[in-house]
Amino acid sequence: MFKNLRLNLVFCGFFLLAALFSLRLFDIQILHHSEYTAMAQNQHFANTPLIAKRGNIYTSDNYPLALTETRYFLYAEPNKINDPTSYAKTISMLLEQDEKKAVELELELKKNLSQKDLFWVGLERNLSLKQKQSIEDLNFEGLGFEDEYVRYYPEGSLASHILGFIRSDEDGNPKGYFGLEGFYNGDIRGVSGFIYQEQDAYGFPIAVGNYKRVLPKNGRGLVLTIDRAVQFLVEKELKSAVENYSAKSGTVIIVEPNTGRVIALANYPNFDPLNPLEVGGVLEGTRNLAIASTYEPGSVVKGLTMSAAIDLGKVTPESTYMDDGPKVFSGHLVDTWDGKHFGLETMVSILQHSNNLGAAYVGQKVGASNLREYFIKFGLGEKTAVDLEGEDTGVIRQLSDWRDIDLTTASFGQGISATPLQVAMAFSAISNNGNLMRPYIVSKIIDDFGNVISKFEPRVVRRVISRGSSETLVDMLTKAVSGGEAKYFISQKYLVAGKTGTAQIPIGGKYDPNKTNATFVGFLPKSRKFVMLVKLEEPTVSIFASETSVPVWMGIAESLAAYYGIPPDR
Amino acid sequence: MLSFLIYLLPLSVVLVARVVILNCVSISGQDLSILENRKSALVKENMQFKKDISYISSLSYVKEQAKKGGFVALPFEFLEVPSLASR
Repeated sequence: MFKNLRLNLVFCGFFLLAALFSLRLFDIQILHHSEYTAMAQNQHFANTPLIAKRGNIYTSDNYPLALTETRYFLYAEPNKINDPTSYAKTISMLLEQDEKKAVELELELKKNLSQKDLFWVGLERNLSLKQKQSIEDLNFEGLGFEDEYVRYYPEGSLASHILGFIRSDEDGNPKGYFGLEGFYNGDIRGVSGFIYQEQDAYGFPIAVGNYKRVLPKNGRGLVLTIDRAVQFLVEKELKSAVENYSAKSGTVIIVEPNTGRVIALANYPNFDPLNPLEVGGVLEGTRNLAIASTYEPGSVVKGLTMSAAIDLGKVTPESTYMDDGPKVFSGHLVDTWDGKHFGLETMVSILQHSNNLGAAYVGQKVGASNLREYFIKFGLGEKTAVDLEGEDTGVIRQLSDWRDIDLTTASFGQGISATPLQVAMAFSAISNNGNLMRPYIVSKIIDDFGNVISKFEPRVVRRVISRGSSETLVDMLTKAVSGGEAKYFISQKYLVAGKTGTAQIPIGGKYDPNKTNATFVGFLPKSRKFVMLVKLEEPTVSIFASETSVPVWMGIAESLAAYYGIPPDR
Repeated sequence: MLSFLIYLLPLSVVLVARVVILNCVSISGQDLSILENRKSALVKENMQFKKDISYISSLSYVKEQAKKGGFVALPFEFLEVPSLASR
């Protein structure tokens, strides 16, 4: 019996042990199955993300405006670090030359490295390869790097309003905002991939193990219509113009009239696309004034009013108008901009003197319905469909809202609003035998190897005026410049067709006589290689376009003519 | 005894072959890893070169170097067409 008892005890012992093992196995395999499976997967398999590179942006002559470079993100595993103080001191000295900043960085690093309860903590972003190597040379345990792609702009702030900029979206992923980065974000951002492979205890891949690889699709590149040299020249001249005339801002647009290719587009002040200045939650200077800012264009619109009248056969260049003093429209007194009256005026001299009453007379002959229709045909009041994010339409009110005074003021460019690009394109139509073109900035979309994926061709939006009317207008606009208010500042080498516009700015429901937008838009009538618009906002040295925008226009035009090899024609 | 050895021999050969093959595979995994790292480093180096080239060919850099080299901008003049050529 005693023998049986011992045997039973041993049996029970084995049974209990087996039961314990079974319970433990049940716990591991059934109750915590998913947890241990995940742990095993983490140990056996490595999932390496393959980040897609954002597409590059090139000028028409294939110089890069925006590239992507690899930078490094330094992270730490605090539970593996024994001496956070010495780590922080050494790393901060390597990363910061400035003593004060180094101390600040040291404190921040020390704080992060001392969080022993964390497995992972990010320390510093945007490190260069040199900085990464210098930290690696320290052989500090518990530090690591992750690659990250960031934009690099070899030309600095050149064409910043065309490019736009990159910021993080709500998920923390990089996203393009404004300009081309915003408009073509879907094309140039690319799609990231990954490598999923089995690895051994040392972290080396097992060649015969499980393996899955989804290659990243790098973003597509853009080749622009922008000429780098012209853009550079324009930005330099615009900056000095805004400073010299103490203007609030300035815009220059250069377009090829027969294709709609935008050769240069610049605003000043501009911004650093890598690091736009944030003031009070607003990114300063990032608004592309050429397409996103509408204004009352003023007298440049007289060219469009005259186009409508010529095209409808309501007037000829020789038609006359008797300017014998101010006139009243719908109870409002309308006068010339300088209070001078020239008696009998031809249509050419109306443009030369930029006569508001003359323009109003022409507007009355055209009629509200026709004038509004022509403005819309010239592209005012609708988007030009340029391939940049953030374009505005401007305002041309409904015909039912037009009173007699509205027709009058619209004839000389007040009471309507347009973007500088719309005005430039309208004059391009006059220069281009009456055909309005769609402006465009991207000529080609290319893949990572430079192969062309899409090519953009010039597109005629519509015919606005007849070829004959266009030729008449070019002749009238040429005479308007050579004998007009801008005659003291015009080029001595080239004939110029164009129109000035000095428009008072409405503030609080009234026009401020001392605050104007000064615009000159025109082209060289012989070559018609380009149409250029120069606009200065609130110049203070002189408020008149003829004394501010015109000299800037002439300076740039002469340099451009030399660049394109256009011989003088005067 | 002999028949036992006859059974043991192929088993040993299979065992040794398995060890050799696994060893080779393990080493090729390491080689693969080294090659991947090398490729990644070369891609990064290439990107760095592209960045350096783009900086050196940028207009602001060229302008700065031209200024240092003593170049100055001169007014541009077209030559008059000789009367003989225009005839």
